[in-house]
Formats: sequence, C-alpha cells, structure tokens
Amino acid sequence: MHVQALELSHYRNYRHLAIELDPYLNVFVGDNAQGKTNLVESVYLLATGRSHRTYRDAEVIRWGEEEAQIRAQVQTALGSFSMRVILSRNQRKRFWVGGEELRRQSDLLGFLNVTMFSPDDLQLVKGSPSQRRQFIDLNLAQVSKVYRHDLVSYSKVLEQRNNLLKQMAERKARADLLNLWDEQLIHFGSQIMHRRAAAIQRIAEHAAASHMRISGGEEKLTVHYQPFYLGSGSNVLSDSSSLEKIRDQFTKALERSRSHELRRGTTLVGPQRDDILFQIDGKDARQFASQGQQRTVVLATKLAELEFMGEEVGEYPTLLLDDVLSELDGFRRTAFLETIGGKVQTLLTTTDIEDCQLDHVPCRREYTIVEGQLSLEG
Amino acid sequence: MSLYARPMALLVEELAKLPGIGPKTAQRLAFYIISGSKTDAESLAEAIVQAKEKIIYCSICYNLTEETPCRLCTSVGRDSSMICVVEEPKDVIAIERTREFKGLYHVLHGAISPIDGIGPNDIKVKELLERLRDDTVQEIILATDPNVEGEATAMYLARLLKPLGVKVTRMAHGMPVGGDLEYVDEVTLAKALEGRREV
Repeated sequence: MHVQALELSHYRNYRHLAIELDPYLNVFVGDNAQGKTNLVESVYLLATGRSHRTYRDAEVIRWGEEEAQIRAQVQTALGSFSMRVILSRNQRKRFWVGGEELRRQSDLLGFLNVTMFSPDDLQLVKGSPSQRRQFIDLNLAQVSKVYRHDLVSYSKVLEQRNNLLKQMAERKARADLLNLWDEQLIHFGSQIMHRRAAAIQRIAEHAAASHMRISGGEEKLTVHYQPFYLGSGSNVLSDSSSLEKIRDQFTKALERSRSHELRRGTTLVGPQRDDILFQIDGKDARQFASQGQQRTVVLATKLAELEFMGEEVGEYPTLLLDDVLSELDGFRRTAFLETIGGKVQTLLTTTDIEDCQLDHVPCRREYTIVEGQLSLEG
Repeated sequence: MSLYARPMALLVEELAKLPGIGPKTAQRLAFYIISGSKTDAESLAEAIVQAKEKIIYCSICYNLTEETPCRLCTSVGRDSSMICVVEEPKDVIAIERTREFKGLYHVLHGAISPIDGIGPNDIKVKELLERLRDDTVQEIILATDPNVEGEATAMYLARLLKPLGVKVTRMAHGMPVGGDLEYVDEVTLAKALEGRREV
C-alpha cells in the first residue's frame, strides 16, 4: 500500500502543494520550522481522520483561510483510489474515499494504513500507559472494523456508566440501574481485551526477533499484555488467551470495586486501565533500561508494528518517520533502514541528509523544503 | 447588522432551529418560500399549525395520532396479545411498512441515557406496565435501537417484565436479506456470526 500523489491546499504553512511520491523511500530535507512535520502530519490526518499533534482541527488551516484540504491518490493491492479531507473553521470535517463521502470519521480508518514514528514515540516504554494503549489501539483500529465498533461502543457505555455513578454519588439516581450498563461494559470491554492480548502476543514475537538483530543477540526482549485486573507495576502474567477467562476476571473485578466506585462516582476497572509491559532479560524496562536500551526496544516495537499490520492486511502500511532517524546511532539506523528498505513506503523528514546515511539505499526521491515550498533533488 | 430584512432574518432563524438544517440550507429554504406564491406559503404555515394542534399522543400506546385511542389500538384486526416496544413514533412506521407485524405497539419516547439525564421515569415505562394489568398481553417484543442506550433500555424492561409472567423477546441482529455476503459491513457480519443458530 502506498500514497502515489499528495496535494495540500491551505494546510498549515502550505498555500498549495502537489507532489508525487516514490512507492518506497521519500526524503524531505529542511531546516526547522519549514513544514516537514506538517507534511507527514497531513498524511497521518488523511489516514486516521485526526492530527497526531493537536485535537483542534482549526490549527491546521492556514492563517487567514477558511478551510484546508488534503487529497491523495492511494495504491493498494485492491486498486487505486482517491482520498480527500476538508477541514473548515465553522463546519465539521468531511471525508471522501473514491469520490464518495463517508458518514463518520471512524469509517476512514483502514483505507490507507499508517505507522508514525516520531521523537514522541521514544517515550513509549517509559511514558504513560495511555500512550501504550493508543499504540495498540491505532494498530488494531486500522486493521479491524469490528475492533473500532467495539472501542466506540465501549467508550459510550463507559461515559453513560460514569455519568450514572456520579448521579448516584449525589443521590440523584437509583442504585439498581447500574447493572444495566455492567453487562455491556463487560461485553465490549472483554472483546477489546481479547483482541489486544492476541495482537500484543504477535507484536511481541516480531519485536523479539527484531530486537535480537538490532542488539546483536545479546539481550532478550519480551513484551506482555498487562490487563487492568493485574494492577500496574505487577510482573505477574495472566492467561488472557480466552474470552471466557477475560469475562470472568472482568466480572469479578467489577464486583470487587463496586463500593469503591460508588464512593468515587466513576468507573475504576476496565481496558481503559490496561498497560503493556516491556522486559529486557526478564527485567522491567521502565525501571531498568538505559536510554539506549529503551530506544532499541522502541525501534524493535515499531518494526514489529509494521510486520503485524503487514500480516493482518496483506500489505505494509505507509511509514511516517518524523525527524527520528537522527536520534538513532549508526548501527540502529542501518538495521532499521535495511529492514524497511524496498518493502515499506516511507516518508522520512530530516534536517541533515548526511546524518541519515542513506547512501546505500537505492531508488529514493528527495525533496528540499523551504518555507512550505518543495523542490525535487537530482 | 443582519444582511437580511428583519422578517427574512426571522424566517431563516426559525428554519435553522430544525434538525439537520444549517444556516445555509435555512437561507435556501427561506428564499424558496419567499419567491413562491402567497397561497403556497399560507398552506405551509397552515399545515404546520394544524399538525401541531391536531396531533396528540394515543392514551394507550403513546404513538402520535389524531384521535385517541389511535386506529392501531382500536383495530379489531390486530392481535392484542403482542406488544412491540419501540423508542420513537418513526419506528412504528418502519415496522408497519413490513405489513408483517399484526400486534400492537408501545412508544417509549426515548431510551435510558444518564448523559442526557433520562432515567426509566422519563420514558413511557409506567404506561407500559398499565397495559399488562389483565392477562390479554402474552408477549412483549423489545425493538429498541441496537445501540448501547437501546440495549440498556431493553435490559431494564426485560428485568421488569419477566417476573410478571409475560414472554419477553428481543429483535435479532442479522444479515440483510437479498444481498451478497461480501458486501455486508463487517460489524453486521460479525454480529450475525455471533448470533448464529443451528439449522
């Protein structure tokens, strides 16, 4: 799967831009604040319906303009089709695929799959659990429409249930109404957890193999799904392979926390409290890994993400590498480029082309960006 | 200052209050009404006032009607042992269009939704229980929407009604009929698979 052509109108610092992209490596070179990140952001937004940098859509509209537009021609194994997003200051976002307008933003996912790797991702191991949940959710949401439906339904149930708990804490609602939401909470929550467990197990296998290669076979990376009912910081691993076991644990956890939930007026259990545990040679990487070791873990996980999505869909997603290659040392960079070279469409941004050591990577397209203007090199 | 003359601005403002009508559509409709004949404008205004004046809730099923009890509730041809419970009057129309259901209806006028401050007492649940006082009704079909609020409402009603000894059923999720399997949306397909039955 790859983006053949990209066109931006009134998007951030771009007045108008129309470029063609290589099915493999595309490099965007420029100083800071010239529009490199804006470019990869636009592809991410076209694929997922939202920016990875902001929740306020109006921010991406060029100063003084009413609306911004992103268009692309996308090639997949199923054929070539157009995609379009219009963001406007006064109206809701609108999306088109193959000329047909989509009803919901969530319908956009799955047409163009992307994986983003930016300096923020280097925090994946040590950052907040929500960052790790977002990581697994975006992967699963892109490959499964059923997962997207379950996620949307779950968050709706959670919102309703939290509202009711709050009303109950203020004695404005009857206590016997809570179980109306419990059944759906457990149903959708368990479906989500079951899929997360399976996906993380597969990502873990790929990550271990990549990690072995990058670290020169000296260290062993294990990645574990940590369902909420084990509690954070726990090193105990659970059997979350069967849906029945997850349902059972969820039901028990909900019963145990009931009185606590009534006091606090909010839901305290569920996949919104899941986590992913990274271990190097059996030790928790959050606490014991050095900066360099953490980077290797993230790199291996990102490569595993590509493989996972590639297997699920039958095609690799488009990789957006924003300013991150220069953060890696020579050995890791080479290992990374060798893995993706010639099979994954990559949009790579950098301030210094020399820094990337791309000399041995053939067939690439290189653009220079200055103040929202692109020029093709060579 | 408004770009429209005052009466025009008022009309646009009123139209824009309608669901699904934005300011641009409101403007288009307003211009259409103004450019049309006076009789057209009068019959539109009259139709709105008449509908508002004459349409009332049926005292039995709470569907919209001109006379109460409504024609469905008083019809001798309907099977009074079955009541189909729906959220909105438009759901009655959808099921009636099938011409397959011969029982009676009950319109709840909403679904349980704590976010919107809607509890069981804010929808027509008491009124449904009233209808079960004698033994006429044998089966209640729960046809609330297949979303989280509709499911919660169906569950509430099921728990309330079952102890009364009446049969309670829920509409099935399923495959659209007559289409090709490959074109069915993934979520519907997954739900249909979940609810599969032995043949």
